[in-house]
Amino acid sequence: MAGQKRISLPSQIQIIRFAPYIGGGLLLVILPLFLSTYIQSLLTKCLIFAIFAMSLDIVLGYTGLLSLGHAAFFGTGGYVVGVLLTRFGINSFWISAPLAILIAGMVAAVLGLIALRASAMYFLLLTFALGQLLYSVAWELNWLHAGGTQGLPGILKPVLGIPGFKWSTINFYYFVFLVFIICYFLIYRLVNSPFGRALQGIRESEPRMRALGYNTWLYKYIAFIIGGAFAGVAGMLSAYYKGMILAGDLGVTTSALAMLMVIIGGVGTLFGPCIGAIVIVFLEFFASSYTPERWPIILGAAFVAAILWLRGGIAIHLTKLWVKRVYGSLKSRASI
Amino acid sequence: MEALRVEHLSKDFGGVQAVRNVSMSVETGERLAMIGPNGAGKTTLFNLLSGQLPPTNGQVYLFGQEITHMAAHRRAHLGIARSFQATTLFLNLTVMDNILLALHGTRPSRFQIFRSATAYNHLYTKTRELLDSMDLWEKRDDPVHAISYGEQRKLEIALSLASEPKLLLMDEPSTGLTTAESADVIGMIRNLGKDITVILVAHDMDLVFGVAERIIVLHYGEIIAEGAPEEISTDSRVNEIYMGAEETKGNA
Repeated sequence: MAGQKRISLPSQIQIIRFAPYIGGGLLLVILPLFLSTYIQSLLTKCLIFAIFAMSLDIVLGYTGLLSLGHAAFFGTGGYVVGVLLTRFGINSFWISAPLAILIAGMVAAVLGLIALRASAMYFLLLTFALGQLLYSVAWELNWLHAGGTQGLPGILKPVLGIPGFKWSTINFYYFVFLVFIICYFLIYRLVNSPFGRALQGIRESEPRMRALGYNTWLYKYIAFIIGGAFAGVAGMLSAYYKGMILAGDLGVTTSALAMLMVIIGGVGTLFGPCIGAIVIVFLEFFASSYTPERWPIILGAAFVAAILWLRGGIAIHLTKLWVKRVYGSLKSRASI
Repeated sequence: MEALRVEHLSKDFGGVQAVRNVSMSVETGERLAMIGPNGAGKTTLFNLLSGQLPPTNGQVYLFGQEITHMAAHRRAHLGIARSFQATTLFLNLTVMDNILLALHGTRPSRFQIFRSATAYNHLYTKTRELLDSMDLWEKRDDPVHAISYGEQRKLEIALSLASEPKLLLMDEPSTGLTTAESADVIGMIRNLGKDITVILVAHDMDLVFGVAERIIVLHYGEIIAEGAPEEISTDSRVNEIYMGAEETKGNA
């Protein structure tokens, strides 16, 4: 971007702005080396759900579309991997991954055409209904069943084609971490691009956006497809992670879980959904190790608590604290 | 040259005819004001012209091209811009982002998906110009919900000017402004180039008589009088219908 003058902060503040990203990134790279394989595996799950929650936030937080069927694309990604492996014997990551993303995006393109005919509450209901429709198909269709389950078990880790490479818990963690970083970077660029700003404009005031020359329907549609494609990435990783894909991965429970992560973490931010994913995954871990049967109650209580006391989500409060501490001290130093 | 032509335009809401058989023609560069009591159909007529609502009957032509059923965003690309009576700004975005959205709106860059929205040098200059003209440059990093109502109104106008429109529709641009700010708006509209056609709806008579070359009076969705400001101010029917209520009250 040579010769470009950016409308931005001075470089010193730029560095500080990215400090939490660098810190968080380093922590996620180094910390797992000192943790048990069990915790490594939990962190892997966190990152997978972080991608899923971020993908939902493109639609929910940035575009302002309340979707309760987002798991349809998550599940689709997983089923593509599962079907390729169990029905066609294809285990190469380089074939499965592009197909999983492409087909999840295509499913979003079809469902989006239907759901976007309605707005607000009706959009919510339509996405819910369409998600449940896919769930029932997966539940009923014998072609998508194996090993006596309503799903496809026995999904092996993908073949990357790197000589001498062997999967281990920590290797898979770093693999997911790499995919996570790529997704985060791409979505970060997306939401800060003119296109991403337009999505936020639609969230804030759609008639005004139309008057300014934006075909708002097209923007919502593209956002829905992109969100679906990223959810497909998460679903694909989840299938590798759990070693299976189940009909439930397409259903409303999974959609609601992602929505909860976004709301607890912070709607309309990127690191918010990531924090939400970490909180929920660890909450589930502790809850189910002590009182597995009460997990839904704890989940419900967390939801209520987040809405009552964490308005705007954890991310908003963290950002405020950060801005107050760091920018505050910078400003006072600058003024002296 | 004729900028806008409206033929027999009507809009029904259920049984209510908000706009009835309106026909008019506006020349390029003209400053036209539409006045009328509340509920006269002024804002509805604006919505028909800018494409927020489809008409029940009639045609609208922009520079000879029929746009009667064209979508609002496509009209924006043909050069129609409008400001809104109620604030429809992007309240949670910064002042700068509001302007940038307006600037990208009629440019191909609006579909850019990977490049930073703030990395457009030529738009930076343009943003600065627009915000300077409204005394809002200092507030550029503030979220819009945090600036004053008067500033929001000015930003509303800046947004409608961002696309460099050929036809500018302004709905009550001075509502909620102080007398001084209102005078600024009058000055600003007067300073607009003669290549821009302006139609405004207003209750503020200082604004109407300070800007308009021609006035159209609407009453129950119909045009009941049309003419130069001097003619309208002395028209007996207008006085009766439009200002009558107030005068009767004053005389009683």
